[in-house]
Amino acid sequence: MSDLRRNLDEWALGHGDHVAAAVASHERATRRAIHVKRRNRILATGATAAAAVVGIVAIASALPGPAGTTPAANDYVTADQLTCGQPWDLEQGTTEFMEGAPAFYGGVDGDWVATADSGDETVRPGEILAGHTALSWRGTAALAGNTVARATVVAVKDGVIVGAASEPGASVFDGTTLTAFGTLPGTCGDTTTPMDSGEYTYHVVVGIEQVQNQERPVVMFVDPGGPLVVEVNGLTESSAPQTQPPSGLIEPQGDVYQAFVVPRPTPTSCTPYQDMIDAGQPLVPSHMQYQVTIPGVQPVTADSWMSGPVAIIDDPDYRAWYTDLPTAIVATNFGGGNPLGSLAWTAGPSVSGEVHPDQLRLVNTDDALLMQPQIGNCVFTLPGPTVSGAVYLIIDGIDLDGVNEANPGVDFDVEAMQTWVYLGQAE
Amino acid sequence: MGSQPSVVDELYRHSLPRLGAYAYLLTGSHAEAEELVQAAIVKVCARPRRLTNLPQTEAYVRAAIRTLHIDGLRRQARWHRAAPTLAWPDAVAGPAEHVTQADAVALAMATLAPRVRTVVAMYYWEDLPIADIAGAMGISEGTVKGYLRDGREALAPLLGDDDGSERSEVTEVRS
Repeated sequence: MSDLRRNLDEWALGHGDHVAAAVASHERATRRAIHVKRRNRILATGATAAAAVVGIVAIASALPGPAGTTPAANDYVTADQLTCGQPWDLEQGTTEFMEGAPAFYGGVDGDWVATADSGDETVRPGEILAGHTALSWRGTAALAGNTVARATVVAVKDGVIVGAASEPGASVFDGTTLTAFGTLPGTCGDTTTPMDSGEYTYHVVVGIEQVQNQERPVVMFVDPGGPLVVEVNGLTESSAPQTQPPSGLIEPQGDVYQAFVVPRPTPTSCTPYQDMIDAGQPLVPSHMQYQVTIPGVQPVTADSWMSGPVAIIDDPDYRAWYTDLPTAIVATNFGGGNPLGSLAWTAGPSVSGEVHPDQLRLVNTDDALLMQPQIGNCVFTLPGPTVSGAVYLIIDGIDLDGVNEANPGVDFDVEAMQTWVYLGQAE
Repeated sequence: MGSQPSVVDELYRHSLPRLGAYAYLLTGSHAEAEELVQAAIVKVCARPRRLTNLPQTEAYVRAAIRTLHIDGLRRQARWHRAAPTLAWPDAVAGPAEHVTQADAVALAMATLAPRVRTVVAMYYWEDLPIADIAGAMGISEGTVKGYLRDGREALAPLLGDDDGSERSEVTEVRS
């Protein structure tokens, strides 16, 4: 053993005693948490069995058991097939689709986690609040060979799928850790249908495929660790149709957009731009306005804050006064997550890894320039589940010629201003 | 469930200092280490698996500590990508606390980026091969070696080094 290794051990053990004492002082609470989790797991598994079996329910089927050890007779389904309106008729357990399948995986396990706006996390939550709690299934997938794992979460009501995510970022696999984000009931891909608050059951389907032949499934796990029965509150309010846009806004005409010259914010909270919107920005009569031309703007959805493109231009060399400036997107109503989506014009990869070298895209990317100074430890939940109301593209600069042309003779501090472009109402 | 309470009893009686030390190495924070150990114990013991002996149970908890910690790093990284204006930068070390000049090792550990500290802990404390560390963290073996080099450069003056012999172990034997 090297000196470094031995000395590190000795040093760490000193701190380990300190940690051990603290852990031991909470032994009773920890044991209670173990008990509650085991009980919830039994209840959840029992609820699934009750829904699936009409009439006689074997007691044995209500006992908990990891999906990895329970065979199930399911047909293979992909995320594309787990869509709203489809019946949920998958049996909990593991289904292998090829001989020698066990050679490709060592097991899949995981649990449901709710993340609140505050960053607090709850394992197997009993309730979630629409727009303020992000639900995800987090697990581990031990794979062997050249295989890939994907997870899909659906919300089910009365045996029918009523919530399903379709965006690429809905499932994240980092080698061993598998995370799938749940959508709210009523959210089906890019469409949202108002639904009542109440009890919903969330299921997760994990498929493992060979990289070389993704048409050939290896194995599918349904609800490893059990489904989640959860009370979803604030739902109708969250997905209610929006009112008419406020007066003063002009809908886009082709590629031409209404733009406002707005002073940069002085941040006093984690959401300075949302604070400005709440205070009536940018609809202030004294603000100068002008027109900005942006080709290729796409319909705005919650995905625009993550990996989805806000604009696509079929010319990677396209340049305008705004293409090198810090840019972000905000909406009047944004449920959960960081309301300020930082963007950049790029032909390179977005955060989801998508690359389109023949296009210039306005996307969330690691290269996005910062629009907002850090204020303490701001923590937001993923993903942003709902977007509605007026949507603005904020460009941290102005087109001086355009402003002067539309507002001749007006004197202002160019360096202190930025441009808010009204993109329209969120779809 | 019959034998589980006694195994958990044993875990509390005998394993906590080792588990606490590992969690502290990973996080650099007593408070975070405490939370990590507790969460790992709950995660392992709430599962419907049969825990038959202490070494097996401690290994499960140690693996859960590692998984939960790496999962936390990834969530931070995802946040950094999704909300780059709000996430704290990688260059800032994790929330190492109670660091004083008197505790030079803690100070050195606190200067390590979270991923470097994690690799150092997995390699030197848990004795994991580089390939396993790379697999667990979803990074290349070369990156693991780079992190180990950074960690060793920061810690060796304080803890002593084997003058390069471990470096050759890293690059030639263990990889």
